[in-house]
Amino acid sequence: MRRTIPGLLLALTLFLISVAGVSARVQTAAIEVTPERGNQFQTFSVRGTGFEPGITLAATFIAPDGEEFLFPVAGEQGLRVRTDGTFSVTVVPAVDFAGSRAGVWTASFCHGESGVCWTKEFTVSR
Amino acid sequence: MRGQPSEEERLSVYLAARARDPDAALPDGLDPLYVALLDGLGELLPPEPEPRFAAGLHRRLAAEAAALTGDRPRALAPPRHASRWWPVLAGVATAAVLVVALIGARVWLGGEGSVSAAEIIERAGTATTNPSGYRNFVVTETAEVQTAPLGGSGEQVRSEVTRWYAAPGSWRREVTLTVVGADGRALSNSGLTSVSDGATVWLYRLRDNTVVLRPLSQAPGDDELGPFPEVTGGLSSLLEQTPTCYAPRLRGAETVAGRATWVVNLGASRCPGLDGGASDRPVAWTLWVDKDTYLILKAVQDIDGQVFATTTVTSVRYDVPIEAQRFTFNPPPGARVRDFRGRAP
Repeated sequence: MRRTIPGLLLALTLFLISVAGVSARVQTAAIEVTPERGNQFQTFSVRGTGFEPGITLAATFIAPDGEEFLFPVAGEQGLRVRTDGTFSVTVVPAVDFAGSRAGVWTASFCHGESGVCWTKEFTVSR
Repeated sequence: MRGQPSEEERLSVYLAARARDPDAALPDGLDPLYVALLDGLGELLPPEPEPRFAAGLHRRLAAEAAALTGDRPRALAPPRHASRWWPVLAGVATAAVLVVALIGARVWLGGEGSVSAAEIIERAGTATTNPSGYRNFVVTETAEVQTAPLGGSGEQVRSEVTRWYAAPGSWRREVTLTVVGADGRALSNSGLTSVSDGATVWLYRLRDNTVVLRPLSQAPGDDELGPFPEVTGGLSSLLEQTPTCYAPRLRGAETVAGRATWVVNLGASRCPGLDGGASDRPVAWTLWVDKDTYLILKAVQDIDGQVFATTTVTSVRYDVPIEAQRFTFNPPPGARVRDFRGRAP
């Protein structure tokens, strides 16, 4: 029993450190869209920082009328976060979203395993 | 279109006015450079020789000439009065030649002396709805956009576009687009084929293999994205904003894709929030406009002098046969087809 308690305490400590680390990573993860507004012929870049390296995100661009555009990258179904915790996606609405609506769009990046999503709005004009 | 006095006429009127009144104001439209040039030449004219010195020199030269030839010195005819004016006349003639050369250089640079940068942009805008100088065209252009100056991660977007245009309702545009990472590796490919036969518009998105069909609509306030305006290639709003938001200046003339063009610096927008919002810093534009057709053949955007986007026409052919099949579209097998014809958007 005397040997078991320290072991349990050690395991609990390691667990708490692990959870705190994940929590910290999730809290610092963020995405930004540049520019935040622009016309459809401009290039929009979505940049994510502070993500857990190596995880795969599902990227979706949501039109003002709710139409969703999944964003496969280089033939993949998801977007893999780089070793430095960043990722980036570049779109030209006039090409990639032709036929959909101008207005306020939402870029959404979701982690399939945790179900956590990061979203950012941006405005596309004609 | 002309109706206004030429540069030479303005200069003549001004010089006549200044002869009467040294403080006469420069008329509108007269380049102060011409006047400064004339004034400068006047200052460079050699001073008139002192008359007594000139007469003595004349007599001495005549005597020495007689001694050499053995003749008796003859009374030479006194210097003609007109010769005193010779330096002045020579100076004025030189100035006139230089002014004509200067005006000629401007005409050569601008194609015609009466066209201003503002007029060029206005005509380029008019050409989007009322093309002149051609019946149809086929244009191929390439574009490169650097995302880093806009706050991106260093990707580069490269695209190649071919446009076929036969009439306001008959056009086709094929776009291929590649996003290249900072390491030069292709990150994604996409593209768009947009076609109009005058009644239906097909939009084929390569990224999700989807074809959208809708009726051709010119409804004002239409908020549908794409296709690119077939004539301006996406610069319609810029041309519309130019009279109020930009100060176009004619920079010169260059050849693009074998065509003579005017180079017009628009500078950065003076209208906050109307420059497309590509950056917090102002984006400056330079356009190359075909002198004959007013089609825009090149566009460059920069921020603080750093170029981040360049679109260049590499080939343009006017009035060429275009097969009718170009202006219709058959969705490829397996493509998802979304037909919005016959229902409210």
